Amino acid sequence: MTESKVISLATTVLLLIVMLSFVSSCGDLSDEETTDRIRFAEFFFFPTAPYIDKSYIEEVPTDEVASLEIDYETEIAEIQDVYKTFIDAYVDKDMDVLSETFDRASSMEFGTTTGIVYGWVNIKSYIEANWIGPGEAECKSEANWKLTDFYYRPKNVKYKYAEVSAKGPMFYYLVDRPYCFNEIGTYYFTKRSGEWRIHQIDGTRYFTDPQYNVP
Amino acid sequence: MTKIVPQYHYVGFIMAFLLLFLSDTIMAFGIEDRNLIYKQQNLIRRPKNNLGQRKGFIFGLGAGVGNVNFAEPLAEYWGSTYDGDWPDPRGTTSAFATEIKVGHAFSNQFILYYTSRISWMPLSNLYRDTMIANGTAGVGMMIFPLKSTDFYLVGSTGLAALVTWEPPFKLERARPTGLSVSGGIGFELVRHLNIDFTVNYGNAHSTQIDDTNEIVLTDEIVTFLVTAHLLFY
Repeated sequence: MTESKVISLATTVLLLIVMLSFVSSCGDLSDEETTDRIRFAEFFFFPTAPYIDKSYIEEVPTDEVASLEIDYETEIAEIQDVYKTFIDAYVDKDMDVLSETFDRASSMEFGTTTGIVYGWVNIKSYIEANWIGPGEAECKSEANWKLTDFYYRPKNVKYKYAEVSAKGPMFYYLVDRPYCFNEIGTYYFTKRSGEWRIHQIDGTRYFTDPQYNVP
Repeated sequence: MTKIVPQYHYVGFIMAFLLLFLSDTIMAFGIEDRNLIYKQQNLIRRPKNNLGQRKGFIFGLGAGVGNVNFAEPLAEYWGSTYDGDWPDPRGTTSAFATEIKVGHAFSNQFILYYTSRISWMPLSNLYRDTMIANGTAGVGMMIFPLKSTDFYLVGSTGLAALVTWEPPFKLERARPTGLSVSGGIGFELVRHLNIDFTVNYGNAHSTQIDDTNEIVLTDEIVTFLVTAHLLFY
C-alpha cells in the first residue's frame, strides 16, 4: 500500500471518528438535541436525507405565520426625534451633532436644487460650503416641523434592516446665490445598528409602496 | 422524539468505493505483478512530487466561498412569515460551501465519485436568524483533459434539498427540490490540493420526485463558488 493511500484511508477514518465523536458526545444533551445532532451529521454526509426521512419535513404551524406586531408609535417617535435633532443641528451649523443623525454607510444620497450629492464626504463638504455663505444663507426652522406620510418596510432579504420613508421640510439653496429656503423633501431612514438614522434625502431609495404605508 | 431513519444504503456505496480501492492491492497478489504495476506507474509518472498520479480510491474535503443568486421561491421558503411583497425579482447573498467526495479514479484523468455538496447561507428574517443549507447529493466527475497540465473540468448532478437550521444544529424544516447540476473548471495546484470555480443550478420549489415529470431544472438558485479541495488518493 503506497504512502498516499495510507494517508487517504487514515483521513477517511479520522473523519469518521470526528463525526462519531460529535454524535456520541451527546451524553449531557436532551433527546431532542441529540436528534438534532444526528440529523445535522446525517445531512452533512447525505443531503438527500429529507427525501427518505420524511420527519425532516416539518409543517410550519399556521399560528407562527402571524404578522409581526410593529410598534409604529414608538418607532415614529424615535424617527421624529432624529429629524428634530437633524434640523436643529443644521440651523445651529453643528456638524458634530448633525453627522450623528446620518447613517453614513455607502449609498448615501443628498438631493439639492442642482442634483444629487453622493457619499458622506461630498455631502459634508456641500453642507459646510453653504453654511459659510453670506448672511442671507442662514437657514431657519419652525418648531412645528414634523415628518409625515410614513412608509415602513421591515428588514428583508435585500436589506437586512428596517427602512422608513417620510416627507418633511428641508433646506435648499439656489444656484446663483446661497439663499436658504424651505420645501418639503423626502427622507429615507434606516435602522441599521438598532437606531434610526437618515440615509438619504431626496434620494433614490425613497419608497411609497402601498403595502408599507404606516396605518 | 422523532424517529430517525438511518441512511445505511449510502454506507454501502462508500464501502463499494473502498473495495475498489483495496482491489488495486488485492489483485496485485504476486511480487512480480506488483513490481510490474509499479514499473508501469513509474514510466508515466511525471516529476514534481508525483503530481498527476491519481488512480485508485479517492477521498476529498472541500471548503469554499461564493455568492447565491436566488428567486422568489427561496425567499418565500425562507421567510414565510414575512408579511409583504418580495421587493426585488432576485436576491443575492454570500455563502460558504462544504463538499465531501468519495470515489474512484479510474485513470489519472478520470475520477468518478459520490459528492455531498452544501451551500450554507446565513439569513435573517423578521423573527430570527436562520441558516439555509442548499445540499446536493449525487454523482460527480473530474476530467483532466490534458496529460501535460493539471487543469480539469468538474461536474456533478444529484438531488437537492433545502434545509433550514437554526444555528447551530436545530433543524427547522426541509424541502426536497429535485434536480441540481453543477459544472466548472479547476486546477491541481499541488498534489492533493485543488482549487476550482463552479456554477450550480437548482430549484427552490418543492418537488415531488414520485412523479418524474416534475423533475425539472431551473435557475431559481444559482450558486457561484470558489472551492479549495484536499483530495487524497
